[in-house]
Amino acid sequence: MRNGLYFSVALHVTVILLALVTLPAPKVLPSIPSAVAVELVDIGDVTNFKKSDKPTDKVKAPQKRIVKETPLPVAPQQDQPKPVEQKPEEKPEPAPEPKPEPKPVEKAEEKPEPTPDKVVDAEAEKVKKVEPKKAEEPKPKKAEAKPAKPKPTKDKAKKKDDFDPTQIAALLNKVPDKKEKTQAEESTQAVSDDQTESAFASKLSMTEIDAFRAQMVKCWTVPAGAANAADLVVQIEVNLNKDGTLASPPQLVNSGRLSDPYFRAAADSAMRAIRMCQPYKMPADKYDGWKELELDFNPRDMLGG
Amino acid sequence: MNQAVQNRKPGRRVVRFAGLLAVAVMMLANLAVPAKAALKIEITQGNMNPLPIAITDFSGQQAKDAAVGSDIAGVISNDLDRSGLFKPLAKASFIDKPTDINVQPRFADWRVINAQALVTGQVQVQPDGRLKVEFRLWDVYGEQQLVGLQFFTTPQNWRRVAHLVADAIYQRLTGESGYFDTRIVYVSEAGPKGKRVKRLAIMDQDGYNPRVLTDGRDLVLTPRFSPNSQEITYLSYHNNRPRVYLLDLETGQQEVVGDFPGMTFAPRFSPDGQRVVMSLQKGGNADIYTMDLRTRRVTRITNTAAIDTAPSYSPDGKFITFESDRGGTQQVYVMNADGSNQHRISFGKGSYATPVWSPRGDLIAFTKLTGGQFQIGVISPDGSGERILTSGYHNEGPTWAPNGRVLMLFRETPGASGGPNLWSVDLTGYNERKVQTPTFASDPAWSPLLE
Repeated sequence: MRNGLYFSVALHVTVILLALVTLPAPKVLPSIPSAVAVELVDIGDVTNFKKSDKPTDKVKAPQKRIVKETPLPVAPQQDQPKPVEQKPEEKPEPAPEPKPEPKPVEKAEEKPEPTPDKVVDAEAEKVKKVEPKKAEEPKPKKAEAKPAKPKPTKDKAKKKDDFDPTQIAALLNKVPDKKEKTQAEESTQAVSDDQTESAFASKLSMTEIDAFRAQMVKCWTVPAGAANAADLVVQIEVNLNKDGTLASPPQLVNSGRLSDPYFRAAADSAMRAIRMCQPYKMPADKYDGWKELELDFNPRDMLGG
Repeated sequence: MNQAVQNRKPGRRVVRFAGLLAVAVMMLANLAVPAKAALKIEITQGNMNPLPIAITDFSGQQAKDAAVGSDIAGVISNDLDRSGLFKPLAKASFIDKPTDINVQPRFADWRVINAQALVTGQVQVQPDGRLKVEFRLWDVYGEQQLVGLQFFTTPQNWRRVAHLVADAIYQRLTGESGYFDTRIVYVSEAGPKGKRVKRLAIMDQDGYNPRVLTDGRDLVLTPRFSPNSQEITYLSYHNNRPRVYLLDLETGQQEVVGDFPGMTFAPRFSPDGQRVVMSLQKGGNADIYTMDLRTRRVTRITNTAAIDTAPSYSPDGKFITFESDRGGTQQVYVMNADGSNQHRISFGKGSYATPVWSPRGDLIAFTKLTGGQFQIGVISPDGSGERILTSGYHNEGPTWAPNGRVLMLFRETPGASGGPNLWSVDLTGYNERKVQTPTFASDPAWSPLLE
């Protein structure tokens, strides 16, 4: 009996020693960073899920559009006699014009209350979506609370630049307007749930990653030639200082295709964007989470056609 | 584990099992060691804004050189601006004034005015009278040179050199080959409506250097460039009979293509420039024929009772797209170059005409008449992804820029004083520009890149 136990212990020790010496095969290591990175994103994902539930991606866009919608009822109000039904048709036209847009939107941000009232006037007869609309107004505020600065930049970027895919789709399709409203309703419910448990996020969460992405929207000019190749993914490693500036020049990871003029133009545009966008507005207390970034620039969604 | 060992007879299996467990634990421990973790973020949203680019006047030692340099910068700036992909910045905003292109510019000064790219250059007349034009394209944020080239040319050719520089910049920054060093042949229309004199004319892609090619006695229509860009084929009415002609741009020589009993229409070159494909009409029936330009042999491609016309080769020469009313209305069809496998690809409302295959091969442009509107659109050769680029009172005759990103067309304005004008529109449909011509103009045809 005893012998057996000793034998077993001795064997255990040798096996463990052997394992220590031989097992850490070099091949295992590279997979480690990615595994951890995924975990990081996942954690953020979870916190985010509670915030706005399923339509995470979709809600983002409608949110802005709803803010934009507010000016539209305003214009007809000046004309007053116009019937309600015309509004959806008018939407596509004013949007591309820069002038009418910005002012009303600013108003919407500064004084959230008056605009919903106007919306009430305009749409009260037709739909009872007045309440969800009011409920939305607090939402952007709360979202801004955490990444205070990044968010507004996203808004601004949207204002200026977002003739982009989402917007174009919105302009072209008159049908989705209705869908947006229903989505908005869902999201407001999600938000009210969330109000109780917003204190969570301690790691870099999806919203902050989104904020980072939003900064990129402004800086990254997608090269036109990218339309030719669907697989023009440019990978770049970035090291950041705590103040959000670049700690070292960005490094192109997949530099093997630089002989392809399309790839070269795409890589240049991504590098330019990274340099141009600094300093990045990131939460300083989570510096460890974002001091090293691996960015994948993928123009796929921008050039669907 | 120990319990297991104690409770049972110490068998080797148990020991081995325990050992394996230990190994597994070790491996797990290894995996859990935190390594450098780079946060991975996928960026899928950017903007499609025109790229802000600063184009400085090209410098020169002599005042005369500097004047040419300034003109060259103007042409480059105009080319890039018209493409819709670039936003040349106002010269007044420039802080740094680079004089020597061999000295690195002060990039910080250019970042202040939000330039993302910078073009510097210089012009010098050589002892032998030729003009030397050099330029450098800089990445303002990456602080490095992207391209640097020099050209030698005769002084009269400065405009072409400017287009070549613009092409080089366009290609480096977009990845796509440029199209600025090209020409447009078109039908110039002068005189009152109803009594227009139509002449064949040619000009640079940006509307400069217009030149008339025919005297206007005979009506001319549908000029098309040969892929080698030295020849044009077009339709001319001689003695009230339409005939397909060839015109050599260098020698000015004209000749009739083939001698057919009926009328010939809608000529177009094959991609290798060796054949002309066209339609030949007898009575109410038109079919598509090709003619080999060297052997003059004529081959019939389609044979239906309907009107098959407006043929256009795919860039690889394997397929032909054409218009036919065999299904009742005019629609776009595609077939193999030998006439086999004819099939319809357009199924939208309205009628489709004059399909033109993109030089890139991925799209076919067409004119569409629907709901009283003339539209120019594109469709994939397999019939999917139809997209309308422009729509209005009248749009017709699309022709592709050699890089397949821009189309030129003509648009007639209504009214007694109205007439046709040339317009360009890019594939997004958002960048519509009028092309300046000295007279009314119709039927544009874009040349390939000059050599």
